Amino acid sequence: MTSVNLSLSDRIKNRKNYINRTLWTSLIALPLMAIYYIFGMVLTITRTINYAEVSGQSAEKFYNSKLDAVIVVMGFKQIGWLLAMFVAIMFAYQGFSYLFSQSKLDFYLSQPTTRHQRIRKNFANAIGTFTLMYIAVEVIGLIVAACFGAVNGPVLLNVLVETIRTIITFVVVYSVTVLAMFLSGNFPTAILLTGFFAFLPGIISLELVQLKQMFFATFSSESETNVYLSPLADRVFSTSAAHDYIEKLNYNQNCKAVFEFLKSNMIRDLDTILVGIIAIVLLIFVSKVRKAEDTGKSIIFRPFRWFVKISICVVSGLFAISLMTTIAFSKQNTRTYLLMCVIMVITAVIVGCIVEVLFDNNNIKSFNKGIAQTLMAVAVLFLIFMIHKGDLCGFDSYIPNTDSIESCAFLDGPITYEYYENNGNIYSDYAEENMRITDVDLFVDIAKIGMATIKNTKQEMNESGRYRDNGWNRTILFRLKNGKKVYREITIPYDINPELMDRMVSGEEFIKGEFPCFNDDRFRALDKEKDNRTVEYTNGLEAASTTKLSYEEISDAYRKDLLENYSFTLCKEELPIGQIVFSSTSKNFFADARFDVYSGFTNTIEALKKYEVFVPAEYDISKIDSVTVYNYYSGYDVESMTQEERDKLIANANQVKVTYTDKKQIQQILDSMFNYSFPGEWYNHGTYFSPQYSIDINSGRTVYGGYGNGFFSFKPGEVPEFVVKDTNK
Amino acid sequence: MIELIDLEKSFDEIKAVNRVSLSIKDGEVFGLVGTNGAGKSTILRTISGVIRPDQGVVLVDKRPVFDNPDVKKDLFYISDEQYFLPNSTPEEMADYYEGVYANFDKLRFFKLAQGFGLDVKRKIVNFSKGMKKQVSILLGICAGTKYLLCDETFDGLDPVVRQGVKSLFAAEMADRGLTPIIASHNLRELEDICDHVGLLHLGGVILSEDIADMKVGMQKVQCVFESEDNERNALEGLDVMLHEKRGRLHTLTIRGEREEIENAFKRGNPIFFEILALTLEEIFISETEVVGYDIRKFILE
Repeated sequence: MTSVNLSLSDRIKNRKNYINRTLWTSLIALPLMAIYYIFGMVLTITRTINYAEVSGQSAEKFYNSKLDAVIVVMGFKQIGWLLAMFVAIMFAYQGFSYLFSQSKLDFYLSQPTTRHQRIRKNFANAIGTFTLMYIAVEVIGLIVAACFGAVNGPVLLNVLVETIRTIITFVVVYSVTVLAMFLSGNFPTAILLTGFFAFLPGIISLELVQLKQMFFATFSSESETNVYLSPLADRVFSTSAAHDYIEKLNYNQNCKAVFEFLKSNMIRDLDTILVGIIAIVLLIFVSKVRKAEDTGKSIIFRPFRWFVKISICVVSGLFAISLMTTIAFSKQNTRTYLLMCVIMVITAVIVGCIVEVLFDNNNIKSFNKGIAQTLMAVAVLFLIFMIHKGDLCGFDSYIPNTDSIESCAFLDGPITYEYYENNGNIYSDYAEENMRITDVDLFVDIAKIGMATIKNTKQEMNESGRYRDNGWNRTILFRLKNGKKVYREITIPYDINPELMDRMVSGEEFIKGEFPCFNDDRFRALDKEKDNRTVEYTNGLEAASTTKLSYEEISDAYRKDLLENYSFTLCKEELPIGQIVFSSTSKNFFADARFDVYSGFTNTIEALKKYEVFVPAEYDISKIDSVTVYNYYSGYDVESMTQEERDKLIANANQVKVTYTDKKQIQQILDSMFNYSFPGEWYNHGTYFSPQYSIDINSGRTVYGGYGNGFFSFKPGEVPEFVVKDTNK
Repeated sequence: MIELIDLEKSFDEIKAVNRVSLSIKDGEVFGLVGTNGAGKSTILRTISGVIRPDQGVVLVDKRPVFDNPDVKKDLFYISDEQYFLPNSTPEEMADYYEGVYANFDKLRFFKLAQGFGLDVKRKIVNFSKGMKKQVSILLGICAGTKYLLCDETFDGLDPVVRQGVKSLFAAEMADRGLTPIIASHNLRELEDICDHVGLLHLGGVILSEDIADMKVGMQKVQCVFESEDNERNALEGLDVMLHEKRGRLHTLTIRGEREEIENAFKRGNPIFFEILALTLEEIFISETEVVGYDIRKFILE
């Protein structure tokens, strides 16, 4: 009987046998996938049901949670792609293991087929088998979900799109792994090379970020870490984005959300596809030139071997200097830079020797081979070092062309609003999302001053090895017209021209972008609910609260005050006299908003007075039992010292505390005391209070100050004489 | 016919095959003999399309073999270290080959396996080395290909099985014109089966001739002469390749036809004269010593 005479059932049977023999890892992969997708689905939905019962979720919330469970297991939020990658690597290693065995090569390559036909057949087997398994477990998983009533149109669309994305991920990882195998002559090398392809782009990217952090004062950690040509990083970022982003799109009830997410994530998906295309093109080329007799070697092609060695040496050299900087170099000066270079070179050379030994199948005698490539790696390292040390690319002074800027923003303002619903505070990036300053020239003027200051500060800190507080640290954001975002760190100096800052800070774009009360629909909606809601006002010592004052009333009054009174000068010259804390909790969320109240915020103060919750800024001495003063540098007058003298002082500091119960002394202390419990935004420690003292106010059983409620010190130069005398004995 | 034309193959700095030209005619058993590293396996792998030559070409029926499925369906290669699909049985291997070779005869395979006492449902991994070789040979024979390339295939087979395999080869050659190409490091293995032998050493071909031609054109003589004059008269004009003398008994290997040699010896009037059958080994020793090789050092066990 010949194959031409085989019946269809015989053909299928033979095919099944062949897959079982040549792709038996599918027998491992299928149960794993079933556990993740079917058992995982049952478990997640059961957990959702249990949680809903325990927490008494509303029907709508419960339905949403169930839909979310399906998306967590099978949709954009899934991590099953990790399994797909694992299966892809497993299938690749099994399907192409013949490359590393002469007997298998004899067996397969002597058969009447071409090399490319064999590669195509293996690809088809692997992709076909994976797709079948994936779809099978997904269909069962979806049936399970449907039984729980956890499926609707948008969720199905989400799962369908994710299925296509996962299959693409599988194909790309499979192709990259096969390429790694074709470039290698034995299993260990292929495994190392697969790791090289998987992790190199991410490692390089992280190391470059690390270098920027080390050398560039204006580098901001807000900057996106771009990892290109890495399906692994693409998937990690994509899943993280799915958790952060689609939350806001009502994604499980809305088909458009699926496409919006795809659009926002297109670069990463395209990057993955690009990696796949590159891998397949290279594979076609490499499979043509790879010889059967290359079996047993390490990395087969010499130029690629050089590339791998240079890359590993460079990556290791950079890792060594960033590690040394983290653990050993608090200062950065010529000596430390020289040390960095020495460490970098030694690491590259040692790693180069190790790589050569590995390349030559662990032949220790080969450690001194490939000196030319080691030298090239050292040259590349020096180039990278010089580019960063000398800022040859102008990173630290880069400000985008004003014509190319669409809008700007100051980030890192105080977080005053918190609204936790599912995964996090939805107001955490308020300024980034809402502040759109279009007076670009003014913003750039401030940015230039801020960049110069932060560079000088970093220089000072590098030389002294000590922290310097020269101004207000802010992250700034340039939104470019081409869609890119440029983040930088700046330090706005304490002595900046207030007029310049006033023009910025008093502007409506700044205020509306800084204070969430201008975009507070969620909080206003709380007034309509019957959940626990309180408004408390405190001056740092006393507090009063009410449940009658609505959020809307506070917000309206506060908006008015901000637009009428808020300015840089106000914040710099005055501190808030108190703070309103609005809080509301229910089973589904937690909401909290804080409003700093300045003495000139008459509308807000009137609203508080109307509900009898306003507490005057002046403290009532009759409610104070005693006052404890701490002198952290007993025996010294810190205010009159230079910064260098203060730096040395820290190591020898001697703390003394004295408690006063005499009402007269307490009154004197209160008169010269400075309350910085509510520091506002633009304040300066040095201007307002002495860094040498702190005060605790004891009232009844409560202690105010220190790390408890409120923060108190003396105004500079106004420390009562008896305090100086008592605490410097 | 398989033609190897100026074949060269190097592995890094080592030249495994050096300008080899050979012709393997259809319907004959071709033996490739040589020491380990002589290039036998490389030549077989090149013929079967596993490796690509650096220089030269392998033509099978005038068609290049490398990456050419049309040609490779006429070839079955049994490597010296056979590979079977993981955990497979002979039956499953037959199923597999049934999908690879259009003329694979599964029923014949079962029949032959039974004849050789092989359990087709037992896992091959549990077979002995010799049994695995038998499975390979039977699979190769049943593939129905025109050429069967065997690398050290007879090593490890017991004499009975070896004889059985030889008979199978003979039957296949007679029935459908099978051309076996057998590589071995042991000349004695091939003596009674090969029609043509190519001798390889250090990647080159020292000799390639039909055994029958060699045997006809070379004789081994044992004789005793009465005097040295008689010896001179007898050997005058003969192409003596080897001459050994023990006491008065001469043993000579002489190139030439039997009748020509008999006539020449009549001139020397020997006391004793006998023409003996030459073994393949002796033919090779004679032929290669003439060109400066002592193959006893590298080919005979």
